[in-house]
Amino acid sequence: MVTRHFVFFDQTDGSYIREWRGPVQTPTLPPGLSSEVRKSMLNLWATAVSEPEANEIGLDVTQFNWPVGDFQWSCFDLVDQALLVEEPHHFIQLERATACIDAGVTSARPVRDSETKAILEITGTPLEAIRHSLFGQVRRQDGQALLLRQAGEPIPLDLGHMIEHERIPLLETT
Amino acid sequence: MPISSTQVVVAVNNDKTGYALTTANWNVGKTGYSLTAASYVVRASSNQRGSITMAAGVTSNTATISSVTTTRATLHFIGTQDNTNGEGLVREDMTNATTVTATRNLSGGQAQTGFEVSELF
Repeated sequence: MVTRHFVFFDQTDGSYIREWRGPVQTPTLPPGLSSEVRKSMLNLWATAVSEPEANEIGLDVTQFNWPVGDFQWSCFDLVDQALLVEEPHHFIQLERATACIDAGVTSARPVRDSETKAILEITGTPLEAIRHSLFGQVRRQDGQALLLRQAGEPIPLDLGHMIEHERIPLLETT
Repeated sequence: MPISSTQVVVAVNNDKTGYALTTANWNVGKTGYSLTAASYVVRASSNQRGSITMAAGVTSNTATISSVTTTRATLHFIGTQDNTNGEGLVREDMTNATTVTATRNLSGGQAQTGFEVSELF
């Protein structure tokens, strides 16, 4: 058995459908095959083990070594036959211990929480435009999370989308 | 800050045999031919950009990034802003697959440092 990671896209518009990683039967290829025949057999093997649905195009993306779920914002360009992972997403990072925003990242793939850092995606929110100045401490006021910046007005933050946001201790502010 | 972009180009061989990844082949039969990259040359790059802030009194901080394979990823230092002379002399390291670490010796004031992580395939 070998472990492979497959991503599936819609045959009509190339949009992402699903992905999975798991053990599959090892391909058995006779020695001495020409490169063309070898490719053909590998494609047949990959199609068999990945089990695409009728409307799906499957891609073996094992070599990228990205976590399952990292292709969720990708699409397949049906004309250029290219896998596109280019839609930018913007994230800010809170240090759990201090509730301070201490980093920001732009990536076309998900950024995940760690033990000490919590990640909040701000793509498409008003915060996206000012993401380079989003530093400071998040506090709670009247039940609302507020980012207190060194300069500028406090900014309301919706932490509801943040995984385990209840683990972030927010000080009350007056 | 420029957007992060990644383009993965699947180079396919469209000649001769019927498994070639033409549109016609994709749509035939129940599944057509899946575009499995197993037998194709794949060229790709993945870029992420970010910034790390170190508050006054802090000599090291980290940023969490999308997972990369460190042996084929490179970290680029973009620059540093500080509010006190010399506080922005920062070293950046890729600590592990999902962490970039910024370190400095002087910590009297706040500093913000930028980075880019590129992964090559």
